[in-house]
Amino acid sequence: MAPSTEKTPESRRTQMYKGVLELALMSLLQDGAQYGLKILDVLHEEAGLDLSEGTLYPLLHRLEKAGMIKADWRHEEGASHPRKYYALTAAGATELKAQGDIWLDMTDRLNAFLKRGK
Amino acid sequence: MGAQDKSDIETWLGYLEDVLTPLPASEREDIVVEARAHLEERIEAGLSASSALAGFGKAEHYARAFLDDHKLNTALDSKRSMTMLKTLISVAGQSLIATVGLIGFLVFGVTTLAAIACILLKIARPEMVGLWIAPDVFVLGAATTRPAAPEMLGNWVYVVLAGLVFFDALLARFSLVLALKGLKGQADRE
Repeated sequence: MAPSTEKTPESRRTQMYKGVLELALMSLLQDGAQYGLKILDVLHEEAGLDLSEGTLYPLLHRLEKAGMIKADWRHEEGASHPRKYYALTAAGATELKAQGDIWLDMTDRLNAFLKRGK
Repeated sequence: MGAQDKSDIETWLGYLEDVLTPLPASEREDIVVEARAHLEERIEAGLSASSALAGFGKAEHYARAFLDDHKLNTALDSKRSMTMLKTLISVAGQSLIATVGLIGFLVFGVTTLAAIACILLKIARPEMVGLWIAPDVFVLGAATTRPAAPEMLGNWVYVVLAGLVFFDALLARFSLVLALKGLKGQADRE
């Protein structure tokens, strides 16, 4: 059977994103509270993660329910709308540390493996 | 914001609010207000309504993630087997995890009921219920014709059957909880 050509670079990237979105999101919130639109833009510009609103907000909602992040509405000067800011909780910081350690260990090993013999 | 953009956004938000009806009012309002703020801020930055809405996708698809999460959380938090069972049945056709969980529940549920039936039968017809063991015979429970083996337990069969009721009921419930947690984990990864 010929290898499948259905997977585009985008679909491969999306599949790989799913595992790292939560980690990247919690890492961003470690730097301080942020609101959805800003999170989306920072993850896109700084982490290269092209996630959509349809992915981000349900993820934020789920992490909030799980107690990893907390949210509060803020009326900021200069902003035309109230913004819902998300911040990392203590439980979220612990989870971030655990996930981060696993990720760094895994990527170090995988990088070394992929570069073997090159 | 142009009139058409405003109309498109209002239509989408109105539909979102409708499909989110199963959620508690405060949660529903939170999701809609947050989406509105995001959309209006994008449009103020120069995006068209259709471009701003594209990231959210269809309202029913966007709402699905919140609704599924709510349904699974509600079932798990209720700690009620009937609520968990109803939730699993509602998704059994679309999920292997739910189907396996339901099969587990049915198997252990039926053995629980069978053990209860044996206890009741033992009270009414003591000779029909017991544990018969011989080299080629093993019968635990009810026997319409007496097996060709000695009965081993006597009234201790009540204890064995009560133990079976307890453990099978526990396993039936465990099947439901495990399947719901599996579904939740699956939803989290998607």
